[in-house]
Amino acid sequence: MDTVNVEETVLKHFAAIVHVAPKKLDTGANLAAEYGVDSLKALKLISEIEVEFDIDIEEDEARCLKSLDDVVELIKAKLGLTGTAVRPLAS
Amino acid sequence: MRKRVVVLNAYTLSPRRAEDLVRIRAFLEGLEHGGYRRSKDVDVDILDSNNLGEMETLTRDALRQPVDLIHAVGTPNALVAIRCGCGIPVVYYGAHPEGAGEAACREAGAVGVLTLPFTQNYKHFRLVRALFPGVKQVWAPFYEDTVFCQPDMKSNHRLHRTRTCGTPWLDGTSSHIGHPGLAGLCYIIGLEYREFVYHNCDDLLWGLEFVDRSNGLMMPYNDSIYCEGAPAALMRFSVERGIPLFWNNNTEATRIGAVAAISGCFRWAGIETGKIAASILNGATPRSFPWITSTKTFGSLNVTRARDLGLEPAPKVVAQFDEVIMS
Repeated sequence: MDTVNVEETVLKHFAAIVHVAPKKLDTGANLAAEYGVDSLKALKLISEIEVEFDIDIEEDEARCLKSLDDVVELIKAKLGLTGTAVRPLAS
Repeated sequence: MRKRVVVLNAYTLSPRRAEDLVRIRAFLEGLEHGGYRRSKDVDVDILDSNNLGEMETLTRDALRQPVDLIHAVGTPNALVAIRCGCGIPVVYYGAHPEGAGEAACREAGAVGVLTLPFTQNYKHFRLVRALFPGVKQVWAPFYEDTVFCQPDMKSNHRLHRTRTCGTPWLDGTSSHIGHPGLAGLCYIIGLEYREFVYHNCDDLLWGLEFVDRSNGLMMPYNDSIYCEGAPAALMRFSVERGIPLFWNNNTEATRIGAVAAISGCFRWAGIETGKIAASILNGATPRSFPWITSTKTFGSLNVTRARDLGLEPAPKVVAQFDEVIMS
C-alpha cells in the first residue's frame, strides 16, 4: 500500500458514503460543513478504513479528523508511510 | 442469624437447572468470596421463570418471609424486584440497550452492574459482518411487554401497522424506530436494519412471513424470551427457512439453534454482584456502591449450525469466540 493508494481508497469509501463522485471531493474541506458528515457517517468511514487498512483508530484520534487530508495523514502515520510525498489524485 | 437472599433468574433457554447456570454459580461464588456460603451462612432461594407475571407472583410469595437482599438477573427482573421489594436492597446486572429501564433502577437505589451489550460498539459489531459476509439485512423483532419496548416505540410501531398495507417491519432509516443505536451500528457496518414489535407468538409468526429470506439475519434480544413460545418459533423459523440467527445477550441460544450469540460476561457480572451483595449483607449501604460498567463480553459460536447454513467461518473469526460448539 503506497500513499497514493491510501488517498484513492479513502476517497472511494467516502464518496460512497456521501454520494459524491471521488473526483469532485475537496480533500481539504471540512467534512461536516462541506459534506454534511454526522457522527454516524464519520463512524462508518472510520470503520471501513479500519477494516480496509487493518488498523485501529482510537476515539481521541477520530475526534481530530476534520478533513479527508486528516484521514489520509492518520492512516499514513499508522502504516508508517509518513514523510512520503502524496501525489494529488485529481488535478 | 442466618441471612436470606432471593435470586430472580430468567433468560433460561436450554433445559438446565438454574443452579447449574454459570451466572447463578458465579453469583454464589461472589457471595462466598464475601464470606457467605450457601446453606451455611446464607439461605439462597432461586426463583426461575421466563414469565414476568409469574416472576412477580413468585417474588411476592418469597417475600412473605424476611429477606435481606434480592439479586436480579437482567433489567426486567430488577424492576420486578424493585416493585415487590419494598425497600429491600436490590443488586442486579443488566444491559440496558438504549438506556431502557436504567433511570428507574437508579432512582430506586438498586445497585447495578452494567454489562454493556455487544451492540454497544461498532468495532465489536463488525464481527457480524465477518461471520455473515453475505448478509445484507438485520431483522430485529422485539416483544412489546418488556422494558426494552418503550411506550413510544410501541405506539410508533402500532401507527406504522395501521398506515401500511405492506410489511409491518420498520426500516432503519425511519425516525420511528425504537432502537436507533442498533440501526446505526447496522449502517456503520453496511447492513440494513429492520425492526418489528410483536405482542404474542402468533403475531411474531405473522411478522416473520415478511422477512426477506435471501440475505437476512435474524437478531433477537432477550426480551423475546419473555414471550411464551417466541424463542422456539424463532429457532424453528431459522432452521426451516435457512436464515441464520444471532442472539443478542444470551449465549445459551447457540445450544438450541442460533449460529452465534454474544452477551456481557455473566460470569464476571455474577461474581461482582455476589461480592457487592455480601458487602451489603455485612452492613454496607447500597447507595454507597458506584455503578460498575463492564465491556467484557462472552461469545458462543455453533460451527455445525453455521455449516448447515452454508457458512464456513474463517479461523480468525472463530478465534474471536470464547465458546465454539462443534456438534
